[in-house]
Amino acid sequence: MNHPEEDRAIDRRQFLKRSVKAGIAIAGASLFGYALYDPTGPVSSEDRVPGLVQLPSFSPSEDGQRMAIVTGADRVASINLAFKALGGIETFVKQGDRVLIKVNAAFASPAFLCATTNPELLAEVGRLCFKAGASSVIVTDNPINNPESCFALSGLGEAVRSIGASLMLPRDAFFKPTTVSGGTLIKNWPVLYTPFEGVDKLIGIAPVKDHHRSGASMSMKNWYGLIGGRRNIFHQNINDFIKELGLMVRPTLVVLDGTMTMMTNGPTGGSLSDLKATNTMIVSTDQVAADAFGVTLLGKTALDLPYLQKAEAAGVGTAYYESLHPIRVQTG
Amino acid sequence: MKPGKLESYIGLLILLVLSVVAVGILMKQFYYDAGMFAVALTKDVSPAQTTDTAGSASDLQNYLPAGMTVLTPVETFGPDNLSEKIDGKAELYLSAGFLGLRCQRFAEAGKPDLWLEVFVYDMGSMRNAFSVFSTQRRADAQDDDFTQFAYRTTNAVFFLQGKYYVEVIAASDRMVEAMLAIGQNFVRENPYSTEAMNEVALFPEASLIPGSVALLAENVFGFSSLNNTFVAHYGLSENELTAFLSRRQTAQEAKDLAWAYHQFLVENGGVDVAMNVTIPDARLVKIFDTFELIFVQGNFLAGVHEAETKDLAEQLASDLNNALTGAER
Amino acid sequence: MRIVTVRRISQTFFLLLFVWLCIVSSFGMEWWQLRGWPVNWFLQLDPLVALGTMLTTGTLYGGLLWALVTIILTILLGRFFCGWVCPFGALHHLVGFLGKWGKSASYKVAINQYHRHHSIKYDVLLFLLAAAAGTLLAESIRIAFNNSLIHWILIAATVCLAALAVAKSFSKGKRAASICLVLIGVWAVLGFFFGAGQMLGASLQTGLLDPIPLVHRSVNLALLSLADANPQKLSSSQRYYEGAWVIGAIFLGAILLNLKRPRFYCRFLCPLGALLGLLGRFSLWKITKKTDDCRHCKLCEANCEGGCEPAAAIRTNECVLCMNCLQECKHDFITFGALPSSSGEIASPELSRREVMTTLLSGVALLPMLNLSGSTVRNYNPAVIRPPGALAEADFLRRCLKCGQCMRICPTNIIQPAGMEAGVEGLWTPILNFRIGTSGCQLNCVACSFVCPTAAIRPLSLDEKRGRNDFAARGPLRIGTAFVDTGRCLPWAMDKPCIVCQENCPVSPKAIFVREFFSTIRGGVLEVRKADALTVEFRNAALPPDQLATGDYYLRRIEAGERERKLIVGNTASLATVRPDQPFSPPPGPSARLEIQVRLQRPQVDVKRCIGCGICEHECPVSGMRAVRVTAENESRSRNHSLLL
Repeated sequence: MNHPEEDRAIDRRQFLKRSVKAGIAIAGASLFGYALYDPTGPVSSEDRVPGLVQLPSFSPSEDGQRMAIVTGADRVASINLAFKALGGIETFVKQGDRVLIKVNAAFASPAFLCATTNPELLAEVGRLCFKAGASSVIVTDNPINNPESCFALSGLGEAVRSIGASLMLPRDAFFKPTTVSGGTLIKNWPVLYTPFEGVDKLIGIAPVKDHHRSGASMSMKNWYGLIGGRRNIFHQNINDFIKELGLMVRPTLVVLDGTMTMMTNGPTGGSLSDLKATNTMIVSTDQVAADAFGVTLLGKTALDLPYLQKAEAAGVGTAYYESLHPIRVQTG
Repeated sequence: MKPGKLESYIGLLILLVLSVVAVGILMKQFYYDAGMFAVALTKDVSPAQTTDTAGSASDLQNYLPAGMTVLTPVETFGPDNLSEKIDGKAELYLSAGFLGLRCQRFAEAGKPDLWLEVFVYDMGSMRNAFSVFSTQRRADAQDDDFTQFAYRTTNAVFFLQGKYYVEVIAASDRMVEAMLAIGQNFVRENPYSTEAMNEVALFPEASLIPGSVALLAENVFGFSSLNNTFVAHYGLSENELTAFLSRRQTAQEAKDLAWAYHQFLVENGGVDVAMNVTIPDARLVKIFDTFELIFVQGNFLAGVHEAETKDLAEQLASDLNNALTGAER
Repeated sequence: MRIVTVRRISQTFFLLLFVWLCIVSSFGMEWWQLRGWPVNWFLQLDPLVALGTMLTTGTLYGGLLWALVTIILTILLGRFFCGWVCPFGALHHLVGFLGKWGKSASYKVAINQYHRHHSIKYDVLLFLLAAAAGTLLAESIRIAFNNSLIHWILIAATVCLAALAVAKSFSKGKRAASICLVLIGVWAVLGFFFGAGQMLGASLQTGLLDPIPLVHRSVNLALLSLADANPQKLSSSQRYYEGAWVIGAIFLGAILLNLKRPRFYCRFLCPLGALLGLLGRFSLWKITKKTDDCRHCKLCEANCEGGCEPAAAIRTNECVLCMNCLQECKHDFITFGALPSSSGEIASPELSRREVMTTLLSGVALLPMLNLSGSTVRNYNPAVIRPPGALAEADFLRRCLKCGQCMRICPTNIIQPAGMEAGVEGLWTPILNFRIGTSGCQLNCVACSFVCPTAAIRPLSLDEKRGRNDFAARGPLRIGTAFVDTGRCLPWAMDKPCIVCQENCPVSPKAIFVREFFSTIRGGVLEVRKADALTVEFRNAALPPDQLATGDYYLRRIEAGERERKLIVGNTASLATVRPDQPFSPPPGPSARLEIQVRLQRPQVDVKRCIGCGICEHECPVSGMRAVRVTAENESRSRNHSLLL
């Protein structure tokens, strides 16, 4: 087909149409290019850190820190007496609250070796929370050993199931970077954040244990189990780190279980001969005070734990637990 | 098929575009940050440099005129490692009371071949600075007036400002303006209060060769006890003579030193010669082929050094003596 | 002036320019060295580089804006880049021409026919872009699934449109719609399975087959280093590159394939050609036949470079504007104009629905599978030491084109193309090998960061690398840490003095310090036959004559204190003489037992100061497996590789 005159008109129209399309394409490409234009390139070579989070404070708002020390051999009885002495669990957990319980499930170790939180104690605390009207109770920890086996072998998984609470095992996506204000060590470091979402109250339950590196592992060191990443690096400066853990986590209260204390070879223990029946249960809103008393069960003093002084100086709490006028209860 | 006109024109247009590309690329290669290359290619500077504190980050840069950039980072040297930079010359500075050196290279923007290096020697006092300034004066010096003591050669500018002795040495002789600008900026930024260095003015002016006054710090004329001596050159009857004077603490010290110097000359083969001038405590020594006239006036030890003829030496010594008589002690 | 002549001039010009820019990519200020030469210009003009990095990083970095010029001209003119600019294309054209030399016209026409496997390059393009789009997918999933319903609908709509655009590019009508639906479905399913987590990442693999990075890599690493062997060298010492033979072999293979079919690579494999073909399908000006009177003599197809069949319905997106058909047509029927060809045009590559889906999905699926090896997180390979300024690994792999520019510019030749060290995705990305080059990473050099076209090695200032002035708080940039292998180190394991590593450590204060240690040498406990204050003769001794007089050996009574050590200044087989100012007093009696000790200075690394520059590893005299080796721990770019708090 040749191109007589009339076809030229059609072709010109076609050409115009095509020019417009081309023009749009060019404009689109240019706009897109300029919109995404980045003249300087990336300014830092470090792994990108998306949105930092801060753990909220769960401290009870009333003035004055409280503490109860119960002597007795039965954990369930002791914990009930402790709460009664402090005015009942209802003072802390209100109707409809979502409660998060942070246990020490660090090792896949059977409960009787007392390297982990006692499952009966966990069950009782959970039950009490439900009794006070909590809408849900979540239990979590980021163990050192494999999470499933830790919660299974320590009996804590079964305890959670038995009271109808929910267990949140750590997953990569649950960790978010945080920076502790007033700290130098925890900077852009992953913390187990997702279990905290929507939570109203935080309770920490930890056993009293000897610890090779830090002297003792009690309620403040319990928060180590919320840290992710290659966290063993912090052992290089363990006392400052525990202080920063105290700054990072402000619980509603801590339960420090000194019924059977691991006196030697902590934190893993491994033998019944490491344990001593010190028959003491401590419940406190001040984690520093709780630890300061707990260390006496190990036969040491507060001065043996440098992190207590550091935490006190940083304002986390007080090591002079007598100033809290702890209520002492003796059972049989 | 023979190419149509349109085809040829378009072809030529495209060739034009290619030439523009080529020219563009050729021009682009001139523009680069010389600093990045020069530093990397040189060995890392001496350890002295790494103690650079944040605040002192190259204040030498402040003296630059527009259109010049930094070529290398600033280097700092102290008395213990000055020789790493200037090798044997370090002796001269060290004996004159050297405290510290800051030096840095700069270049004209886009033309790294036109570079210069600025050396700022902190000599501790104006006298010390003058000492190293005057003793290194180059033969082809040409005086500058942007500060009291300054001169230039074809590729360098030397001056002193207060306790600083500054050298600006260029790699090419086309950078005089830039060097002078640096000198002027330095002078403006570092004002100083004139120190007592009035010995310079004591030399009689008649026949004094301008800019020839120098301060010899130590080991003057090879005699270890003689230091802190000003010298000046005179042109008398087509001969060049050197007069010297040195202010001592006391008149007695001046006399003792004069005697010691005399003995030094005699021990080295000098012979006492009679004089025709009446200058108190004066001695004339003929050593090798030259005459050395030494005298004392007040606190000053003075004289004429290595004169070729006796008469001219005596004449100059008289003038000098007159100038020193009544001068401040 | 024939247009074909101009085209040849243009190809020659750009090929020579390319070779010149490769030659001058050497560090220095001479006219034949780097200076201000725009050595990345070809990479910046390449739209596949720009598109790839836009998908993986969401930004268009710096000089890559040049790609807009190529894109705009392609939209107007078609694949001019392939026929007039691309240096790889010029090489293929040349070799193809040589291969056709002397063959009959019918043979030439036959090998220049369009082949259905020309579509493979579109598959390659789709696959590579899909792999690059992982982050984009993840982001869109995250936004959609974490926000309200409105957002979900908006995002879904956007994905719909995008999918439609992709689908329409490759097929028509109904096929497009069904492809679109499947893509949406897959996207939603991905959202459920992967969330927005680590597994669905992105990786820039376009550099493997994109011709500009490929030809840079081949010339930089294989060809130019071969040229170093001749007396008029380009580099002061022979440059070596690990695994360069593979790169050279691939290059040679691609070139030789032109003997089978001209422009083999351009027609069958080149993803850039595919991209430009897509962009230029509806170009305003194209090769067209003016009239239908054509008798199909096919002369025009004898030298058709693109295999686009101008005699029949021309396939516009295969045409590389070589203008040979225009020249050859004896009747002047073919022209380059705005009117559509009389015999019609075929504008789309014919990809089946199956083909499109397979390639897209494989590209996207590839990434999670690669991430299973954990190499970007826990299981990182400590031998992967990246150049200073390199981004953290995941970001680095999103930008690296494997172009080899950094390897070429490195003045000490230590940047090497990786094999499998950094995983499959890391093939031919730069890693440092301190043994192969002429020294370690020079303290004041930031050449590699300066020359990287995509900021995979981001531009560093010297201050930042050295940790000075504004960067003093952060300290110097570290690329790894040196570790002393005390089982191989001479003073640690062999009783031989050596402090080469400490001497050469360039940072100040040094990152290697020494601790003095005295070791009794083998057979060094000897009984005295007779001795005076300065000379001792031993019983039953066979000391190596003079070898104890190097200034490192000491003599002392057994188990005596530090002060008792006397420096040996001379010895024979049975005699040893100590320094005159350190006599034995009283002299050892006969049958006294003395020991000969060697003074060793044992190196230790100060982790706080070590920057991992590798100069110590390079200088270590234990030349095989070095006694001090740098590995990636504590590198600044990865927080979870840090050694210290």
